[in-house]
Amino acid sequence: MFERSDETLVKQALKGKKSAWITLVKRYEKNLYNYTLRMVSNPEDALDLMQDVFMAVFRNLASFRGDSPFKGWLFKIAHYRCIEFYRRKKPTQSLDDVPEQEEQASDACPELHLFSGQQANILNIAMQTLPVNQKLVVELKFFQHCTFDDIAQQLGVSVNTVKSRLYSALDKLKCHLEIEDVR
Amino acid sequence: MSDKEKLQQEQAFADWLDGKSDDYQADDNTQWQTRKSAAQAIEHHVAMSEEVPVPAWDRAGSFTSDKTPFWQWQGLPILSMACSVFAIALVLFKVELVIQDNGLLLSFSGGNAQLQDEKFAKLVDAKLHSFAQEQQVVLANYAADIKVKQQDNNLQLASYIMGASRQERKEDISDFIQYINAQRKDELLEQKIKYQALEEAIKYRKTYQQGNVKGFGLQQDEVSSTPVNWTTEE
Repeated sequence: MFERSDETLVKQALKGKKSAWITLVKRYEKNLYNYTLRMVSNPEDALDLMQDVFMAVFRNLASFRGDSPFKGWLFKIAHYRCIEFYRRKKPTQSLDDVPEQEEQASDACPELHLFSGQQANILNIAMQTLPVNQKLVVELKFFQHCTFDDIAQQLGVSVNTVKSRLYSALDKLKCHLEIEDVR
Repeated sequence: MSDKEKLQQEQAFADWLDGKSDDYQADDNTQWQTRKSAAQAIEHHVAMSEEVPVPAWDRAGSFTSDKTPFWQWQGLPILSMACSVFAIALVLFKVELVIQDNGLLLSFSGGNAQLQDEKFAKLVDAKLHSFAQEQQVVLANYAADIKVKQQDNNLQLASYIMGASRQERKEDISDFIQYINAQRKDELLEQKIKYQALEEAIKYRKTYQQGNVKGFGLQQDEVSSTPVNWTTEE
């Protein structure tokens, strides 16, 4: 059936049509939720972060000009919100630092067990060992299938910085993935 | 390995990651080969992974429209208050707005009532004046009509009277003439009778004188006598 474009839904939502906004949310909520889930590794935090992203998107909907795809604009906001989430959660920790492992918290959450029981659990667990900036690059490169230029544009850094972060992430993930494969 | 070769290796690996080249041969370079293996492992995990369904959440909660309905407009109470004050002022100052043929009339403190009274008085005067003039014209016309009719009636009456009197006179004269004629007839008859009597007398006398007959009914001296009481017969 005919499906309304993102730009059309945005215009209708700006005019106050709630159904258009809900359609837009339903179109991207799954991608965004899985993205936030991979980034924060906690379903509750991921859901809160997703809602926070959608609220931020709606507040800034009037500034969306349609020059770039809505999905890119949505995930750009999601990246910033994700970074804010980490800064709020651990203000003293740098985004380039390796995060501390929270195994106890993961064990306490049955939903995360369900999430961890899926095929992607090895990669997701390995990604938890990466600093946020490297995790973002891996996310954009392998899950969002962005090019280096796109990643650099979305994160507001140079292409060389993106490459550097990705290569560092690959070096670390290789070790973890090999260990997990051995297990 | 020179820096140029390192850059070439890195560029080739980046192009492979961006999908610009189908394959990347890392040669003997362990570092790039390791990264390639890691990237392939990640892609394999990504391909095998399934997306987690989104838990139920309030999607409409993120929709906070700035466009409030008109009945929730913040200026509405102020506008209502202003309208109320304006209405009270209209009542206190007895403001009247009258729509007329030639425009609108806005009056304060009952000024319009006085103007209306004056206007009504002028209007009544004008109406009465025009009515009086109209009545005068009607009366004048009526009087003229009456006068004309009266003249006609007078003329008809005079004609009738004259005709009637003429007819009466004519009848009177006719009666008189008839009377005269009857009188004359009577006189003629009397004269005739007298003449006959006289003739008879004369004849008698002649005869008497011839036969010496005297006094046959009449004396000699009584010959000139007239019929007795002829007037009473009339």
